[in-house]
Amino acid sequence: MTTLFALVIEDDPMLGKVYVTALKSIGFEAALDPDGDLYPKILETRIPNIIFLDLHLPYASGVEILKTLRATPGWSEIPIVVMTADIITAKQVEGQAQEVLIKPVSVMRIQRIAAQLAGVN
Amino acid sequence: MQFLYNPYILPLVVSAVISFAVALYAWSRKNTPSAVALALLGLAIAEWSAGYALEIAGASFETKLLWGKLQYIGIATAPLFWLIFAFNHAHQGNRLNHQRMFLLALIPLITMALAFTTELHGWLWKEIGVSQHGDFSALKVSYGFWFWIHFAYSYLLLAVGAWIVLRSVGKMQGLYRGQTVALIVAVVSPWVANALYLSGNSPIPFLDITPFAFTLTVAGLAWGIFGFRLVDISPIARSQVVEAMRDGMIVLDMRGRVVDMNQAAGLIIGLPAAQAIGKPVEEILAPWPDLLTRFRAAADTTAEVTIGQGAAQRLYQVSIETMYDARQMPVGRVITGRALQATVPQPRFAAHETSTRPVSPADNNLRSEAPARAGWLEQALKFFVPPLLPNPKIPEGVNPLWFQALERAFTAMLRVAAVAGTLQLILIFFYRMFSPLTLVYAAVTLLLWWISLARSTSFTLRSDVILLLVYSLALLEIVNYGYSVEGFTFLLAFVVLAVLLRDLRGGVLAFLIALFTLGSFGWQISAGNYFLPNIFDEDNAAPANLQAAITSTLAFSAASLALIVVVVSLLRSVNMAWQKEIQALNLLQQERDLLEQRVIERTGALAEARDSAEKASDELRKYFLAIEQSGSSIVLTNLNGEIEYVNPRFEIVTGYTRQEALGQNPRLLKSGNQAPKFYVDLWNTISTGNIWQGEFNNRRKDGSLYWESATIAPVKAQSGAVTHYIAIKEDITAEKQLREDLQRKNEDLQVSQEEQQALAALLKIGMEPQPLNDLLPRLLDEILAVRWLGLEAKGGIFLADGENRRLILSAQRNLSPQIRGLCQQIAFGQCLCGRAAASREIFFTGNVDHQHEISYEGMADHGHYNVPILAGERVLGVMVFYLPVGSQPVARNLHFLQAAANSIGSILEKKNAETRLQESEIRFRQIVENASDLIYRTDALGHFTYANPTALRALGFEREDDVLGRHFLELALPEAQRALKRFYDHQFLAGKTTTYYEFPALSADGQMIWIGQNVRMVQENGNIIGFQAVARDITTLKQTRDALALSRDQALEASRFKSQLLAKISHELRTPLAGVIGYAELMEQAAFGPLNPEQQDAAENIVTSANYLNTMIGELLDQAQIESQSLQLRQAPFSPATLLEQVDAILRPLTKRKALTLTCNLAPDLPATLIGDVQRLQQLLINLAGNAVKFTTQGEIKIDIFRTDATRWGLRVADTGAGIPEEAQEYIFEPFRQVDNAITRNNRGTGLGLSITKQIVELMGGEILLNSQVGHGSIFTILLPLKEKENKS
Repeated sequence: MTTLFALVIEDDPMLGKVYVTALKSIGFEAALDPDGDLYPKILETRIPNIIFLDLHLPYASGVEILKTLRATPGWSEIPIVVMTADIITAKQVEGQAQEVLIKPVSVMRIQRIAAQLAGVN
Repeated sequence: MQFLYNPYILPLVVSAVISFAVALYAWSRKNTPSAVALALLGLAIAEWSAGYALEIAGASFETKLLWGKLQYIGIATAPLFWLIFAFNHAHQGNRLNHQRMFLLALIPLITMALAFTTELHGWLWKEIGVSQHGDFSALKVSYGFWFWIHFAYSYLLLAVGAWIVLRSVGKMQGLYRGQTVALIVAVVSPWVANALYLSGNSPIPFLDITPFAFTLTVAGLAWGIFGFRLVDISPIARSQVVEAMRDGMIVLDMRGRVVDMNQAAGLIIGLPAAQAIGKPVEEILAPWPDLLTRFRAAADTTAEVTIGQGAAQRLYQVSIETMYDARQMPVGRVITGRALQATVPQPRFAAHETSTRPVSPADNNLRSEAPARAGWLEQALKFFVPPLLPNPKIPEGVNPLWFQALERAFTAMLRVAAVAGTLQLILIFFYRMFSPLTLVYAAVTLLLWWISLARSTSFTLRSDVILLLVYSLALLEIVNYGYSVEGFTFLLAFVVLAVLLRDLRGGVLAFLIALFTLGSFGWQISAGNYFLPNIFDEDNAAPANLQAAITSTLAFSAASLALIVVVVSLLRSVNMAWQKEIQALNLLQQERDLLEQRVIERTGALAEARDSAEKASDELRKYFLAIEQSGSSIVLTNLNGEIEYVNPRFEIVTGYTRQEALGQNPRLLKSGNQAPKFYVDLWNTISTGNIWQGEFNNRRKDGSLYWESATIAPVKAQSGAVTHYIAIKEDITAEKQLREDLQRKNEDLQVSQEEQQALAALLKIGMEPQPLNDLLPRLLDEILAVRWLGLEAKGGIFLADGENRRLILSAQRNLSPQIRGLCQQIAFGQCLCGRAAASREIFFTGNVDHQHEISYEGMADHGHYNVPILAGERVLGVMVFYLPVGSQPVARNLHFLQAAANSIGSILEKKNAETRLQESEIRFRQIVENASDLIYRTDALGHFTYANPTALRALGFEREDDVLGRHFLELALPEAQRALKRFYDHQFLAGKTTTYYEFPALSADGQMIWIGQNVRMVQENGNIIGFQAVARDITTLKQTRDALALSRDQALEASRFKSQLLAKISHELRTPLAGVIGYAELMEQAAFGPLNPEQQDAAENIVTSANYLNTMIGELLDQAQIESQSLQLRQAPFSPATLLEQVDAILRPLTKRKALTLTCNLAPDLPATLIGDVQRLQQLLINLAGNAVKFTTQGEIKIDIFRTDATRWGLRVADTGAGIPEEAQEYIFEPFRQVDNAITRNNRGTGLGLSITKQIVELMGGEILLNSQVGHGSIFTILLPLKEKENKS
């Protein structure tokens, strides 16, 4: 299992596809959780090298997911990149994630950050 | 053993069954003393009847003999049980003790033993045969000597029992009497029958009719029981009251012997009641010699004592009461002991356990030595009487204590059996009597050893083995000998053990097995299919025929079922007792819970009571304060005249402190100037309950004298008795002084009584409250009316105008109009009056002379007294009187006039003072009345004493009278009154001089107004006499304030809403944009396949346009945020170096594209860490530098971060671009403005960038400067306050 694995939690199907494609194109395996309720199952099967997290999700609050991820042993070390268009909430989670990016985020930036953060691990 | 049916046995069986039922019924009431004896009596009779029936039915001689002997169990014991029953029934609560019972039982026991062995000695029966009369056959015996002993003894017991019962009949009443008569008839009848039989007078010569008479007995007993509820009434009452008591109770007779004692008492002293009754109390309480000495002679006392030691220690409340009989003669003492802290009742059996026995020091020693001396004897004892199994597995629903006892008995029995078996094996071995059975013996013995030793093995298994063994023995007997005695016995044992060791089901099962065994063998043997191997006599082969088999089996069934019933009822009563104990424990728990509940409730009630007491004491405290702060001295004395209380005023007046005064008699203040009679009168008045009023001349601590006007009143208790005297005293020294001074002065002037009267009249006028101008003429008239002065009826009074040194005519009588006009004003020294004023001496003239400077045409000659009115050296005025011509001065008149002038002088002084006071009051009143503030006063209790017109107006009153006397709380809104009262109570009690408070008031016309008031406590001589308030109607102010607060809240709410809206817009705009950019970038990266150059270009354009759109959205949102004031700046530490690096990284690709040089500089004197919003700073730099790149075609872009001075730092972006024209520099920072308003392809933008930059800089507390020349480029400088990270050290 030498390939790097990224988990994208993003409800917008377009964006989800963009991120997954962008990550795959630089050699990541990528899984998408479109509603914010599948990620625990995905995490149980495989621990990703990086998580991209949207804050506005239909079935869960991104802030809560962030808290859960940070508080759960075994998951707390996974690098998390928060990507949101909500500038207010973005301010609240600063410092809790490795990166907080305001959408739109350039594909190259995603690729760079993914390579950088996942590579460190 | 086989039986044949015989009609004679029917009544006997009926008799046995009824007796047995009676026995069971009585047993179920066994808590009562006589019931056990009655039950045993019933059993004995039942056994006798059953035995006689079986004797008659017995087919063989052996069977008849066996049952004939067995009857003696009942025959021998029945009289004994009768006696015991009679005794216990007649002497309630005073049972026969065990020793005596044993003595009485000696002869019956011997009789029984002899009956079983009678063939050996013939002492009971000499010759034994069978008498046959038709169907009836029974034993026929001749009696030995012991029979007659037994006979005599039985009749003796019967007679004694009957006598006891008869004697008690006299004492008994109603029900009991009938009961007892029934009893006697029931019991005596069989013995009469017996006597008839033995004497040969039986109606049926061969038949013993005694057992038939038993039917009578039983019927009598049944009648007694069911008709009168024989054992129900008084015994049960005793059982419930005394035995069930948790409190221990011991009854002693007058000699100190224990007459009665209940179970609880037995538990306390560790001795069962049966052992203690009849013994001297010294003996049973021997372990507690101290208690004995303490209570030996005690009667009617209660005390707490400790009994036992260690874990068994208990604290008891012991009370001793003397009992009296109907004639009030003492008959004994009752000792009751109540456990004070032990809550767990101990079961009855525990009385024998050492743990509850009190431990005396001697016991302690014994116990510690015991294990060392445990020899073989103890070991053997422990083997045969094993301890209770500590943790047995107990079947459900079975009393664990019973189970333990049963298991112990079982084990002990088996051990005895095992030892016996072993001994027998040894004997067999010793005498070499080996047979094939020896091996079986050995096996059985081994089995017994195993079962008796393996106590931890399942009890079920062990009992099953034993049951199997017993059944095997029975089977062995039956197989070998048919219906033999042993076979029957073993089968009965099998059934009984099954019930006892297992349960009713097990018993019934065993019974069925036994029945089946007997039935099948009986049938087969009687049918001749099975031959008993050891019986060769065909006639005696058991059973002889089918009838005998059936009868025998039925007899067995009856005996088995009876035994099952006995065992089951025994077990049931044991379990019932256990259940009751559990119920009692539960009840106890409930009661304790209830008690706790009550304690909690009671605590609540107490707390309430305490609160109300506190409230009451608050009220008291106020009264007390009033007394403490009273301006009068208040002294409280008791009936002996000792001072119990003085208030602070007393201390001030007398000079004695409270400590010095308390306990003293008020006579310590006596000056000795008043006659003893004065005090005697005083005392007589108050001691008869009347109020005394008078004046004291007292002496202070410092020796000075003073006068007091006192009221002394007796203080009466509710009963009307005088408990104290209270004296309320005013210091009237000053008043007294004035009076006395005047008197002395007048005495000095040697004025007569008339003069004094005249002077008194003057003073009296002077005391009137009218204005001076009204009084002066009357004063004048009063002097003129003194006839002996010889004055003419005219005169006047001048008042002095001290400043202008002149006199003004203020009152006159009968003065001529000319004089009135001329003498309106007279200068000091002018004319006679002026001279008198100037010289301050009385002027007398007999005639008008040159000194009479003022005169008029036609003025008649006359004389004058011109009397100056003086106050010390000051001239207050002059009185002028007319005399007839040629009058001579009279010394007495001069004296009097001088005295009158003095009096008038003092009146003037007083009036002047009053006038001055009034004037100043009027002045202040005017201020107050015209003040725009509400001003009012209250007394110390809060009642209005004054309110100015503004206050009246504001509060909706028309006249001052409407508000005076009302309490200030009435004005407040009802819901605000509590808080208001608390606030001012606090001010009053804390002694705060001034306070400010706001409260809603309700004006008289129902309007609500807010009042804010300054309240000042008005004090006089340290006492609070009232409150003065200056208040303002702050309703409008309050409304404005509230409105402001509301609008502020609304504004905040709106701002919050705007922020949320912005966040929402931001989200909704950026999300789709992210999709656009993402897909375009992916296409650009050829993620969806290679693109041709045109497609590539298109993708790039999409990305660029979308990015531009994104920037614009960002700027618009920023602007919106700034405008809604919801832009928040972060204050966090950041590194300027990193900031510069990041900006560099973003800009460098742009400058590279345009071939511009980018230089970034960080000043070394800048701190490594600053405080600020680094993202906004980055935004500022990118904005400025982005513009620079946009407008610069060649040259360089330079970014500096630097420090200007100690408090400021800056960011500078310089370019070599087109520069900004001077006129444009003014509006360039305004929103949506660009140079020339020119939007070209190259420089397009929202026009918000610079505006936002400026606003953010200003939000950061900094400023932005622009220095630009067209053609030379622009320099933007941002200056910011330096916020360094706080130095932790």
